[in-house]
Amino acid sequence: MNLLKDITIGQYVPGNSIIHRMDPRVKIALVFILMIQLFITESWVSLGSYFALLLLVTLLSGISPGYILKGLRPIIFLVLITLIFNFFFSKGDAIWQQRIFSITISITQQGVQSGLRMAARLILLVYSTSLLTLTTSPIQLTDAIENILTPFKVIGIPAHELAMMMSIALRFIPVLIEETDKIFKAQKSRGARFGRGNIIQKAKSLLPILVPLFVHAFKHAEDLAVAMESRCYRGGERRTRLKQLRVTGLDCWATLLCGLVLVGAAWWDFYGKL
Amino acid sequence: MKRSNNGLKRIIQISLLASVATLLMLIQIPYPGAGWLKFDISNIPVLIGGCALGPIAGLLIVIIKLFLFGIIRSSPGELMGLPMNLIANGTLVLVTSYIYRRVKTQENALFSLFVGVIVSTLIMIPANYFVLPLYLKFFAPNIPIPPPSQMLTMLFTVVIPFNLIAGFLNISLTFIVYKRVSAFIRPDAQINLQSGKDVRARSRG
Repeated sequence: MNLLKDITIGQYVPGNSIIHRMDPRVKIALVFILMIQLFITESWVSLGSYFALLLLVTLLSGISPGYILKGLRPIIFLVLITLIFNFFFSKGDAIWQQRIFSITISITQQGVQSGLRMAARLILLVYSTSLLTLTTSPIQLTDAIENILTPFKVIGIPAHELAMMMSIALRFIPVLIEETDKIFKAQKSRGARFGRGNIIQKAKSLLPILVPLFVHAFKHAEDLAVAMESRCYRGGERRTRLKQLRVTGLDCWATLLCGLVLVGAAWWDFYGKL
Repeated sequence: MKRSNNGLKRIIQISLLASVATLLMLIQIPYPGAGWLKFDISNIPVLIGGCALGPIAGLLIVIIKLFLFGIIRSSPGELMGLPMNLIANGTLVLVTSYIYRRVKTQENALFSLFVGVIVSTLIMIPANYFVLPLYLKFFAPNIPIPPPSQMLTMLFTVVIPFNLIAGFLNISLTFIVYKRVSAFIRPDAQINLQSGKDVRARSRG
């Protein structure tokens, strides 16, 4: 299916840089804390220091800027909409006015400021999350999430099962995409028509794809269950891992650096202009 | 032994259904008139899972679907929509599967799907009413927030029709698909892809 061709799953770029070697839990926590700061702050100095920090991380990780730019592509439209909305519909002191027929269109100073700030926030937000997913493999991510969720076992959240379900689901998406493609071609060769007629006919034409897709999914579930059962899988208890998550000196230094940027920016926001 | 086998299989079936749901969610059609609302048919696996494996399984499928979708498409505009999506889809699957699993007949299946869509549409009215101003305030702080009358007009002309159309699209497809695939999800189902059909499924027509 053409629609499925552009979907890339997991943008992880393998590497052995400092950033790659950091503990995924620490990375998630730092990105999360910095993102909160990104949304609280109003000043350009904080946004600028955040950007500088991200640039440093990009340099250290050795990831080519092309990947980052590719990650930013889906939000161009959103950024443009945000800018236009803020520029033209904000109230405040007008810096540019134009009468078209009976409507006055004006751009306000406040609108320009808030628009640019919002656009910068959006871009930085996507920049930081894509840095996280570019340098952390999906397996590491789910491992870290399992680890972060473990304390919640007390209130009945099955951390291990949740993490395992997520990694199984993630792992099967590419497989199912390929199978959907095959089913699509197979049904087409039997004369099925897709995407024609009114909405009801279009919905009906999905059935010859959906039913085999579900049957395939259940078949995979069955095979996987047998495979895991025969390898004596018995839940998360007493499971050992090949790669243990470990916080090292590297993570401490990274936390220290991020903390410095955070405190510095907050200090500037409160006391301002030195 | 038997017991643990079923537990494991249930977990894996939930994962695979979540995988299908994520896949279907990636194919989105924007709703004309409101770019932030998007149609998708990802509720089919959610409802099938809910009806066959129970309400909690359905809710888990929704949560995993949204989480994976967030990882794959991490654009902030869509991330904001995920909590709303969780409320809408979560209500739909909980209500539907709870009603359906009491009496498993075709009439009750139709009834439960119908009630599910109505309840989730009703829930989305207050949810949208409170969240939309927040969203506006966040993305464009200097824009005056529309007065309640304007908000209500928008709710009735855009949001409610969208939820109803999206809901009925999903449940009608679910109703047709569920009958054909439900035989494969039962714990004793033997799936043989070569012959194309489950032996027991065929005997049931």
